[in-house]
Amino acid sequence: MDFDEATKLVAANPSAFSQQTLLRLYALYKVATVGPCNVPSPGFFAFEARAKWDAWNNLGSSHTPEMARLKYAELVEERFDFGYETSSSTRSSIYNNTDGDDGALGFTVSTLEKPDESALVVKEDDEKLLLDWVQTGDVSLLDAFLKKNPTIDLDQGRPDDGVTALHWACDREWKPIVELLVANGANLNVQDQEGMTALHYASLTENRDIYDFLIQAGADPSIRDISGELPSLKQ
Amino acid sequence: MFDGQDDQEDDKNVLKPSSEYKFWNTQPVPKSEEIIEQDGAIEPDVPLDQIRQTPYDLNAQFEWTFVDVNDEAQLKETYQLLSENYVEDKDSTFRFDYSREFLKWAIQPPGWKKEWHLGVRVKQSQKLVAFISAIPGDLQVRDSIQRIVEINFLCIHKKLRSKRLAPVLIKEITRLVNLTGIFQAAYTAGKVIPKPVSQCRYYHRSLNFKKLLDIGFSFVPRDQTVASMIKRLKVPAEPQVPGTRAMQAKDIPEVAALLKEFLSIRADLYPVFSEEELKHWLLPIKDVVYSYVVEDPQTGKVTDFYSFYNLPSSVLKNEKYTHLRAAYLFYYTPKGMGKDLNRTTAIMKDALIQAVANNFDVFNCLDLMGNDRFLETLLFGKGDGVLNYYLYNYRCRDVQPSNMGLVLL
Ligand SMILES: CC(C)(COP(=O)(O)OP(=O)(O)OC[C@H]1O[C@@H](n2cnc3c(N)ncnc32)[C@H](O)[C@@H]1OP(=O)(O)O)[C@@H](O)C(=O)NCCC(=O)NCCS
Repeated sequence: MDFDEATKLVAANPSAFSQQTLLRLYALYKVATVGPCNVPSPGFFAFEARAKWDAWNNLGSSHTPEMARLKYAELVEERFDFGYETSSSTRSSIYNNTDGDDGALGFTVSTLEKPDESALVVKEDDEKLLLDWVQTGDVSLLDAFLKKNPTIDLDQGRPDDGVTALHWACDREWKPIVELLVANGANLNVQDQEGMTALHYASLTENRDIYDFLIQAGADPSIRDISGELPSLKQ
Repeated sequence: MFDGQDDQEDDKNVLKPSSEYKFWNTQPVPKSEEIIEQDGAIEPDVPLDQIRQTPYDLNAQFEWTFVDVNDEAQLKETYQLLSENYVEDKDSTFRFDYSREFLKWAIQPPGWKKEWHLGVRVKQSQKLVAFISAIPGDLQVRDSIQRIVEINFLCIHKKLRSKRLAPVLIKEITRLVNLTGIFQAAYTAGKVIPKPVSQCRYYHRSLNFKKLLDIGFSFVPRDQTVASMIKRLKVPAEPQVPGTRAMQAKDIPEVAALLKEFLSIRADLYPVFSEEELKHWLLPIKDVVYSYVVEDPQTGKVTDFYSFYNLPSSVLKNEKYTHLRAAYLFYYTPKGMGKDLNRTTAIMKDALIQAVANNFDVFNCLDLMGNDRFLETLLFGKGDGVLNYYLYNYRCRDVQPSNMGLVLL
């Protein structure tokens, strides 16, 4: 519901709203259409006019006209659609309360359990090898490491699967790390034990950006992996 | 998540003493503490003239409504209520998004009644704010067949939660069902209430791994590459079992016989379908239900069948994707009635292939009906969701997941 719909609804059904809600709506309406209260206070004995003025004035300049329009529509929707007349509950507290309970209600859309990684050893910084630094995903940490170890072999694969630093960076789609490794002279065509090159990784993760970067840097797209597949990326 | 000490943290979802369930404690369901030794109704059937004839009272601002889902406008309202307020995952990143076509199919099987599509409207605005449904069926519970309803799609608008509206909806649908002479019901929930007859675990087979990773449905182990996961999860483009084709109406008698035998061999608790019902549940409807048979090329006989339904979820907090397209394994029967595990695995693998061909992102199932025997081979991963099965007004000794034969939508 937008502001215009909301004002029409209120005009057509004033009795659907409590006095207190109507005052608040009045104040929001004034801010939305006029801005902060800019007229003198009516006399103390003009009760109704005074109550309206107070409500308007109390909003001060806390709401821009746009915010007031949104709040107005929100308040009308809530009070009207749901028949609430509990003045104290604001929209957000209603949400929060129930959201808290929802968790307890249990019936959830199931997703895959997170793998239990408690058994993986966390290495101290001084034990970390090249791939460990790549795996932090932090390009400045990796840069510092490379500067400290300028002669390190960038193309050394993991013993179990031959995955290199460049493969890993492509796999996780970390372009800054890919760029850093390439700038430091990583071999663009190095293959893992499956025969996959960095380009194969970029095609499996469907990362056009990295794929194009590798091609421009001179990677060879004609190298097949052991199952005979060429790296290829759907347009 | 669900082993060891995390279980304790999850104490909100374990069975509490019955006295803590203010509503359920008043209902004909087994008490939490009860050890069930014999199956049977809890309360006897009530003669029609002793059933309450008037609807339960709602708060003055609300009124009851029977929702006509064959009316486009009302279908849309129901869809909207559910798609905005129905079941979410525990981090509120996914919410079930049953399609309109799906809803019509799910709540209008043979024997459906409009009075069992019960809604609540705000009088003033006529806004639909709550819904519950029942559909009739026959349920085999060990040696006895019960006429039951299945209760589903209980949903209350988010802004009207925790106001004890759910108990009134449940009581009113129960009354409406009782009026037709049915006194037992089956339902499922993630929530634990007195008292589950079975607790099944969800399993998920990633199909579109990259997308699942992007939306936070699947994970990649810290020391493995995404590429290796994608390669491992890749399935062939075509079904591998010869003679596979989409199910047709003419297959129903054979399919019915196969399923009946399979369920009666494998399960303690399972639906008894008429051919008419099976036709409704299994004949393919695009984007709703997918069913395939294997026809022996020599004899022309149907030897296996399998089906899955489409239950997408909205992806709530992702810039790239709005929906997750999930296939849920429905009913199936492998040649050999499950004794030939290779065959069972082969047709389940074909089910994955069909799901990929139909653009599904993930294939889900529960660990019921002996599914646990092929899950690992086919690279399903354990889900973080548990589905509890309940019977209303029927005491039933625990049913092991592997002996559960009922799949609710
Ligand atoms: C389920 C839902 C309708 C409950 O509404 P609510 O406003 O949270 O709960 P209410 O205050 O009205 O009622 C609470 C009572 O309903 C029971 N209840 C809650 N969820 C239930 C469920 N899924 N099945 C059966 N009973 C349920 C509670 O146990 C409680 O009774 P108790 O005091 O005996 O424990 C609502 O949370 C909802 O729409 N959730 C999203 C959809 C959903 O999960 N649907 C259920 C699918 S099985």
